[in-house]
Amino acid sequence: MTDRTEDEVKRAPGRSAFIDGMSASPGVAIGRAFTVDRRRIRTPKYHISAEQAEAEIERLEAAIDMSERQLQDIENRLSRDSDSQEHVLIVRAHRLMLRDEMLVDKARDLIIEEHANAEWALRRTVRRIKKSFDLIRDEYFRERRSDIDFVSDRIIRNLMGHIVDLEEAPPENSIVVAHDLSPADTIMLSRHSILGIVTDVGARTSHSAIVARALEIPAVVGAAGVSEIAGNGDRIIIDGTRGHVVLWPSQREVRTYRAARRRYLAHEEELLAERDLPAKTKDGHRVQLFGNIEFDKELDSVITHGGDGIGLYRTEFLYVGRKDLPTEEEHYEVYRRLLDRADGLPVIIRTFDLGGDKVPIPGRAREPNPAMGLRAVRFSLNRPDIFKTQLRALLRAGVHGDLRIMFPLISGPAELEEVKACLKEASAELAGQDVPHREDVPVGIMVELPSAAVVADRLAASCDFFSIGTNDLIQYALGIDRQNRDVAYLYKPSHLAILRLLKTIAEAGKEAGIPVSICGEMAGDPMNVPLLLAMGLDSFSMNALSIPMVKRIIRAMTLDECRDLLRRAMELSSIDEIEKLVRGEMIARFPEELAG
Amino acid sequence: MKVQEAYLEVVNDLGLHARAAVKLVVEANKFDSYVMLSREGTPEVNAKSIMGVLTLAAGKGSVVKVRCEGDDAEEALEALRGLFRSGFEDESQAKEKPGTEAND
Repeated sequence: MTDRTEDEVKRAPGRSAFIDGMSASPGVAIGRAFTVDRRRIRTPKYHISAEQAEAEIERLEAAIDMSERQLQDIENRLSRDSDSQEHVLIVRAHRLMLRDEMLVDKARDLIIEEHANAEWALRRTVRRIKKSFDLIRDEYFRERRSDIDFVSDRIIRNLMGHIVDLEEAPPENSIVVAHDLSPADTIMLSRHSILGIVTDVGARTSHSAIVARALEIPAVVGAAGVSEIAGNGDRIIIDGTRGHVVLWPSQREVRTYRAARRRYLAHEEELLAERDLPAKTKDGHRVQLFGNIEFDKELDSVITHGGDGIGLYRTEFLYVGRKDLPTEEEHYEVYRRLLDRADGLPVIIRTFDLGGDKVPIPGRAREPNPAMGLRAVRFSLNRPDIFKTQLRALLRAGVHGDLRIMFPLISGPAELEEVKACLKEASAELAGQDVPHREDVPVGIMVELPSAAVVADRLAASCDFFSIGTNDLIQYALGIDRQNRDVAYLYKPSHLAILRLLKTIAEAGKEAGIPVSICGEMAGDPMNVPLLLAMGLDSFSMNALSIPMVKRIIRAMTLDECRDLLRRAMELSSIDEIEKLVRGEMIARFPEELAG
Repeated sequence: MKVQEAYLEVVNDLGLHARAAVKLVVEANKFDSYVMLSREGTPEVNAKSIMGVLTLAAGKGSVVKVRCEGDDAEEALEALRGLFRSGFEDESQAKEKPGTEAND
């Protein structure tokens, strides 16, 4: 057949499609696609007769009524969850828009006077309203255009009898396939049992990814095009651990992934069985295992995976993807909620590690070399007004739990003093205003610049803890941009220079009697565990999912054998030799866990 | 028919953004009077229309002229005055932040 469409070819039996995406939540799911269409619909345009006008208006009003009921329903479901207050307000604004005279009266006029059908009349009205928004200079208000689209799309879908919300439960074995999911969609979905989620767009931080992790189901985001080619009910496999999708899998692929799924589940179960045991070596050396998180919901995952607290809470999300700066109250609410959830466990919050290009302020300039530019504390000190808003909120939140504040990218003692002075000012302000706060919140720094590592002894004298940020430390020390494919291969934690830097930092901390933690990716790699233990680090902070494996390794080793391995590794010179030694020893020691 | 007018300042940090606009529209709809809003150089918009209120694009510090016309114009104006003054009861404002009251 020569006139087969491209689609039919793709769906030809026996030919599967592999789509690469990003891992958003680990695990493997094998099921059938449940497609959720959120793209724009085509608006039918036709003229009605004068006699039909009244009926057409009734049709419009019925669609508005139906839309109102749907939004009311969503609002009711949202209100039960305290995290969703922001969504509730959005839904409320949408409900008011449904009944707005600017929308309804004008559409009615067009039906009567120009004999336009309801869908067309509405679309034309919306276009007109949006024009008055286009003129607005303020970006926030201008962007309310998208809310008007959302509302009018809903009415039009109702007029056309399309499914508007995910009202019916997805069938068993469903994997949700969508271009993107709205907050309302994800909340509806989380009430049904689904096997996994895959979307065309999105990042690890998008709403669907967070919900998937909270539900502990696999998810892949950024699988471009998946919603275009997957049909409802098509067989689909998602590998949330590796971040890809197999559409229309062959029998053989199904078998392969079934095995992968079994392995993953067995492994999870086995590791979780050990979650309540302490991270202690066989000879009794106890360390703490913390989680790195970005959203308070992820805290639960850290705890279920046996974490002892939060070693790194990133606050950048408060600033990005919005048109204005977060207020002190917004900061405070977020921190207080996190501390409430942590229920007494230690929580280290890092002040924002952003460059001026990411913060929503006017006049932000592009920098030729952002990694070495105005970012993190440099930016904070450049804009003390923005910085102090966060510091005030942190100090206020300090009364609600075991909070510790951490400053990123400190380069030396003078900078640390400057940052501490800001904190002191914030504290004095709060005291002057009689606002409850905790004055003596422990203050630590990220040691992630080689300069800070070299003068770690001086820095240790004036802060309460260190946390080694290996991702940046390795980049800066080795002069390698990890994003640059040509040199990324040189990014190696096993470089002798890195081991020496880590040792220097750990010793400086010990000398001063302050705890030293490590919070880069290096901390979550089981191969590095003995080296880090031998250096005498007090805590390891990592992705929640890495905690069980690291704990298992720690519990199986003695400090003496770790020290012996570190000593032998540091006698070698090249990255290859060091890696070969450590990997060889570890794989021999843990064949089941680490081989393959 | 009574007519009442006042110039009210937007004092909350986020201005008349969606959350505040919802409150304003809900409040205005409680009255029979016409309630019209405008800023210098902008056409009047109906305070009972959320889209209208949003097109005002009134950020913090902007002054909004409120004109109420009808039997309950006085009550309507008073209610709106209260809302503007409280910063639209924005949680991101006022509450637990005694420092902000000092400027009044």
